[in-house]
Amino acid sequence: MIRVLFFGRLGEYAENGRMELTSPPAPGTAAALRDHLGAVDAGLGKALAEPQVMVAVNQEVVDWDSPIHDGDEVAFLPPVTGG
Amino acid sequence: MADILFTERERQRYARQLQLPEVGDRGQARLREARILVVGAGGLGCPAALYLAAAGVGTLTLVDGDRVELSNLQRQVLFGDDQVGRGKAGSAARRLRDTNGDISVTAVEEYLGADNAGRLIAESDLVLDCTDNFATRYLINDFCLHHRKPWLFAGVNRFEGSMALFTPDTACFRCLYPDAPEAGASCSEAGVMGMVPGLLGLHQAGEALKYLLGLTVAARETLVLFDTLTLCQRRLALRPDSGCICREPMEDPESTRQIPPGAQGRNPVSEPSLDWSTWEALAQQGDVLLVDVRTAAEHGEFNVGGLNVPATEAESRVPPLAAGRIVGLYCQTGRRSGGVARRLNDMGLEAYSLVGGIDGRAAGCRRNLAR
Repeated sequence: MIRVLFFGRLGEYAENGRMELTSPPAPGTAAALRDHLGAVDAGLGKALAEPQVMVAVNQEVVDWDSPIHDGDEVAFLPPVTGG
Repeated sequence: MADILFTERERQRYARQLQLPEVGDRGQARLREARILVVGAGGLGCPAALYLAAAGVGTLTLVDGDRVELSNLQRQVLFGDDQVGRGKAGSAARRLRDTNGDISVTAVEEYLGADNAGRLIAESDLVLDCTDNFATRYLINDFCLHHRKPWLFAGVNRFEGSMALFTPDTACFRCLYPDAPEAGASCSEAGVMGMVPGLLGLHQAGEALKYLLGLTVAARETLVLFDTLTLCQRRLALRPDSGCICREPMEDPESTRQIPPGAQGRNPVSEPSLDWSTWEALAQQGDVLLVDVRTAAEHGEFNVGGLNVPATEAESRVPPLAAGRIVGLYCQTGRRSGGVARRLNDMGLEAYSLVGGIDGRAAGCRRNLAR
């Protein structure tokens, strides 16, 4: 099972800002998970495709081609730019 | 070693923190010796600077070219109705001197830019990013890398905020955000609850004090996220990106100050790096490929001509485009284009980088006007 967390405004696309998937979408990368979520929900897909959205796996910010394994926690983060 | 003699007045003022073993006389002396640059006297900068001043950080410099607006007062808590229309840096500095007359507070009523960042950052021990835009954060990042200074990033949006301490030896801001946002949501666009920058600004002050005191800085190489709706806080580890420019040998972001004299009487392309006048000569030569290696967003905002091929794609896309022609490369500061020029030259192309980049050209123009 994969636990997916959405931060900031991305949280609007999932109840309580989180969802669970039974297994990592093939080929098992963060980008594949992003694309899978986008295919299910076009609005979320558009929000995730923005260039400054970051992904963290198991509390570490990683590249989009990083692998995702069963049991991982994946978080998507929008940029936070104001001051 | 820091002078640890205190006046009776200082002993009374700092009594509650002097009694903490983590501070004590030695720690308080470190704070008094410290110089902190606060970039931006807004929602983050007001609370951050207030608590740094109250804690006795000896030298505070506030840099901000903005004037106070009525819509700022909801979160920029150093200002009141009477300050509307006045300069933020000066108004904030007066308020801080009122809080603590034993420290030195300097107001710089300018925006941080390539022309003043080097001096201001070099004179500081630590930089607080209290800005509201990515462009200034990249500027702080690059100058802090060059001068090997630590800096504390913070950003807020709506009900959430995030912060991180970047040091020359850890991941940098460009590892986290390699590309500038097309349109980063600012407080004026997305809205923000006033206490959110208040909270983040206080944490910036807290992390700054811990850094100066030699305590563990929880935000070091860690992106800390605060959600004020749920009161959840999360910590995400940051790792340097091996492809980031911070892993490459540094080029002086201020290299405009060290521009070699124009290649007078020589072939205009005899230098691997070119100053602006030589660049113009090259551009007019005709049979040359000019390339802006910044991101599409940066190129769209402002450019000085040529094609746009981001640095990360230059090695694959530029050689076929050049088709044997000389290549002239530029970016904002000359750092990215310098790296690309080296790599293209290694591949057998004849490529040159504009020293100082677009910022350098602007600085050169200002110098010319000043004469």
